[in-house]
Amino acid sequence: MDAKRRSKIYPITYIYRKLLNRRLAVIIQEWGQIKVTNRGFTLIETLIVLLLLAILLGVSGFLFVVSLRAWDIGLTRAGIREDVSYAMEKTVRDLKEMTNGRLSQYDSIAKTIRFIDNEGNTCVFYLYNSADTSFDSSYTEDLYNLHKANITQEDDPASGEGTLILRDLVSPDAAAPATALTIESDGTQVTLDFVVQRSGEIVRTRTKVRPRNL
Amino acid sequence: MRQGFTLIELLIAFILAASGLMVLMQLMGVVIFADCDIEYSLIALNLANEKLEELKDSDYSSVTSATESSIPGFSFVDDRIVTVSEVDTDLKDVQVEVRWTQKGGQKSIQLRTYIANY
Repeated sequence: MDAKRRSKIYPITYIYRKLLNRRLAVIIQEWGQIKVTNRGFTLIETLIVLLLLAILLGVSGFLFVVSLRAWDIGLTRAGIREDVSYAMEKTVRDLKEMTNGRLSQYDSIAKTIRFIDNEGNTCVFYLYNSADTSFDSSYTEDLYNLHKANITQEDDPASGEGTLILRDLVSPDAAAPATALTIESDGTQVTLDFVVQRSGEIVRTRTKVRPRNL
Repeated sequence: MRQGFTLIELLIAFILAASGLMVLMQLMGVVIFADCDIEYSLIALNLANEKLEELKDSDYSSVTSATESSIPGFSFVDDRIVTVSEVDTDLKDVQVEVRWTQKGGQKSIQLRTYIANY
């Protein structure tokens, strides 16, 4: 091997020489030398490369779109979960802490629960939608918000006053609308059945609470 | 001296890029299923709690072991198992387990309490 040729040895072939069988190293080196004389791509090579590139880009683009959609759904559901967790914690706590008295409905309206909180205020959990023309037991709207009104401090459930606990509730059972908060027949338990719908995503969770001071 | 990439070099580069994408894809799947996992755990916990509250509200004598093979409205749940053992006179050890299946096998959540006959 003359000096001129030796000068063309690349670091990588030098490493090959050190590490590999010398004969193999020479083959690799010569293969490298041959390719070096290739001055560019042939048309067919370019086409193959472009085709592969297109496939790769297509796949990654598709993945990107899919993951964006999944991300969106995940975000919506995470938002609902957070709100539902808060609402459940809040209502369970309020009902557990209610003072002597009993559970009843406010004005016999099915969408409501009246109780006396730990400070002696009469409070009402109720489902509300401002488009609902009459505040009664019927479910004329698709979505309802859960509010807590403090009757002692003159919040008016009929006009949506009080604290907003949870938004976008749908009926747990479309055929026979049941409320998100139901007093069980024995009067000592409340079922919380929260079905929240946002951007087409529905999250449902359910639990029961037995007020401690009944 | 003029030198470009060889076809082989490019192919190797593609393989590397593709395997990198594969890893990202798998990571994406993991993240999505982790999200699902949280949701199911949350709901299962509430369902277990529901059962526990029901039992606390019922007569002491009717607190017994039972299995519900499904819970209407929560199709992802496999079953809800109540295991009761009388540890002492008028004292029951109650355990509620909610099980569900998702990618990665069967998962469960357990709640345990004592119920006294007072």
